Amino acid sequence: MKNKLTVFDIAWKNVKSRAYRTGVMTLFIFVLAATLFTCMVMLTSMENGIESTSKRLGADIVVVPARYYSSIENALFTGEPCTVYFDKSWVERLEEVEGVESTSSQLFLATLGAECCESLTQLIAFDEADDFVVSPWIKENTAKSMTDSEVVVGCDLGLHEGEEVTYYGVDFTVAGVLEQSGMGYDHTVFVNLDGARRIIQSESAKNFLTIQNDDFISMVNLKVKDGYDIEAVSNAIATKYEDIAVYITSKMLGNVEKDMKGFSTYCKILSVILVLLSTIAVVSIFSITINERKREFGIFILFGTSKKQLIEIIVIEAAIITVIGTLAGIFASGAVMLFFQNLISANMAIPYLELDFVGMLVILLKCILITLGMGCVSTIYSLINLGRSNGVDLLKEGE
Amino acid sequence: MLLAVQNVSKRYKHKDMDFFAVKDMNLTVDNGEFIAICGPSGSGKSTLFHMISGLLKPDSGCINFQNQDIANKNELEMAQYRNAEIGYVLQGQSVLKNFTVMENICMPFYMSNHANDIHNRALELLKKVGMEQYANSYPDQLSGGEMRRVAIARALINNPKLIIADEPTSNLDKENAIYIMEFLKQISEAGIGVIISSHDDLYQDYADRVITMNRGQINE
Amino acid sequence: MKNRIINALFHILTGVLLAIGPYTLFQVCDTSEKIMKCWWSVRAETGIGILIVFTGILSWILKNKEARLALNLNNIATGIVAILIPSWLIGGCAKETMLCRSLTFPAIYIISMVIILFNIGNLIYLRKRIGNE
Repeated sequence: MKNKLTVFDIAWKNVKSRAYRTGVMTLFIFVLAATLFTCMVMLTSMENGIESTSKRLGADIVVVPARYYSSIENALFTGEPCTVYFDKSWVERLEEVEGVESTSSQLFLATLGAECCESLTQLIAFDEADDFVVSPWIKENTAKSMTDSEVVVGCDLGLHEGEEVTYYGVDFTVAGVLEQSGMGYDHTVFVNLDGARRIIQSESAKNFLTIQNDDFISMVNLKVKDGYDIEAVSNAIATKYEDIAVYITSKMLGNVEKDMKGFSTYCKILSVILVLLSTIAVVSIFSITINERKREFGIFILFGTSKKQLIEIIVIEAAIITVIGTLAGIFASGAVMLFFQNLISANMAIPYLELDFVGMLVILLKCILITLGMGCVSTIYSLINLGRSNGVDLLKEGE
Repeated sequence: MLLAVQNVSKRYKHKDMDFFAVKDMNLTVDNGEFIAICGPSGSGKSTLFHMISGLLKPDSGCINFQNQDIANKNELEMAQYRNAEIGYVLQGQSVLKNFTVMENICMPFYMSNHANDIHNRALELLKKVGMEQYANSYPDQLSGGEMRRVAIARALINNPKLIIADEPTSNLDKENAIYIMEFLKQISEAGIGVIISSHDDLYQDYADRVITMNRGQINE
Repeated sequence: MKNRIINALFHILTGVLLAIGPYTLFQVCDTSEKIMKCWWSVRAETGIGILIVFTGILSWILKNKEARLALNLNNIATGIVAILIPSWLIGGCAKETMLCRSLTFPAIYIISMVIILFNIGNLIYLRKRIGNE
């Protein structure tokens, strides 16, 4: 037998002996912790994704063929392959617009991703000479320039550096894997214009792609000169030219941020409701349990337990239930989010950047603080009553 | 003199009427003395015991334990007084059902500031009350008489100077009641003061002194 | 009796989930044109699921605690194999956004982990009961 039972041991035995009630209270806290953790992780990941996307977009204005805005948005934010084209001459025409500092173009191709998988992967071809959108990012990850038989791939394609891949029967080597961005680029293969030319000229591509040469592009990215208003330049382009759609990138993100705000509000309301409901439930069950145990507490006081010791026992009981429920809830929620992370980010219409270890730890601590706070609150009412009672009143209960 | 209760009164209010649960009570207890207090229900026996053990403060008079007035003690000191000096055997069932017999007996020690190993003393007490084979049993496996013995052993764990037993033989069969009274007598013969309250005539064979209470006062 | 019923119900439910879940609730990639690795993985999981259901039935029939303890050990190993089939022994598609990688295999991992944890818990419980006897 242990030499001396501590107040923790006493509290633990009390908690174990009321398995059903402990289980019910733990379940409420489990649901609360799991929901809080899930909401916080999702929201933080989305915020990180939007921030990352905003950094990565690079351009002030994006010009695409008219009526294809949503395809481009999906391609950028979720990596859903799109194949829209307009003539390359648009680059020169847009360069001439007053206020435009520089332009770079991208060509979107879609290809079968791998031998086994019957789904399309986005291929983006860019001109290394004038590109200011993806080149800086690619240079962060791979120091050298790409050759025409090399590709750089997003992190979610399951490919490794040095691996051999084939697109439209044309072989490439993976020169590098990019860091996670939280946007569609994570599911994208990047190739330079020479590499894209090899693909377009291949026999397989002729049967699949709608373009037969590299005189086409999918998107023009524009940087606006300092001192010029981006909206004014955008309006000028839209007024001057038909058959194209002009978008300010900050506004594109604005729509995404609006969607995220909606989701965030929903999560916050859900969390507040859950905290309130769980608190009410746990307070009620705890109060009933404490009430039923008044004689037990009276007996403790009778053989010389101080009120401080009694309060410690009760608070530790609440803490045990809270900590177990919280850790179980966070573990379950974390496991589900970890295992289904690809499904979650694939189904989000919003950029989604998974959290690093420190980020997760911060959220874990926040959840524990909230649930522990709730656990403490659940004992306050009972403790106040206990503090006011004397030993005789407690002993009389249950007589 | 172990305990001296001097002119102690306790007043309660019930439906706008004042009444005395205990009125001008005087009582002395020496080391090793066995006192039985008898009287009808509501005569104030339990209230007297609660005041002696410090659970209630008297409205007037004083209670001296080993020549110290216990009224001056704060909540913590009172808890320490109950833990170290008094062993209280409550009326009815008072064993903690979440803990084993051994843990129940040691519980007052666990709540104290002492750090030494109490295991041997607890085993010794278990043997004295004839319960050593039940050390790891839980209260729901015991009979009423067995639980009462555990309560008495628990009251003795911290070597108190005074044992207070409120109706120690209530709801027990004759055999168990005699066992309990014999044991309490042995305790008093070992030098510990014992005060019991009882409706059972058995006390007459064991008590050194019998006091009758009625309406909060001693009947001479 | 309660332990046997809970064991039986749990294993029958999880076994059925493993056996038919990948064809229904958490389907793998479509195989209309080509049979891929993930299809073979879930076929193997169907076999695992059937084994788990069978041990569920056995744990209801067998009264002997040592025998049920052995079944628990067996189920832990089976659960580990259920995880290894899609992650190592056979595998699935390379792309992480494919249904098998994003939905089916994670569901299998979670069900298998639940089976392993349940059986570890029951193992501890039965050992205690056997020790008390």
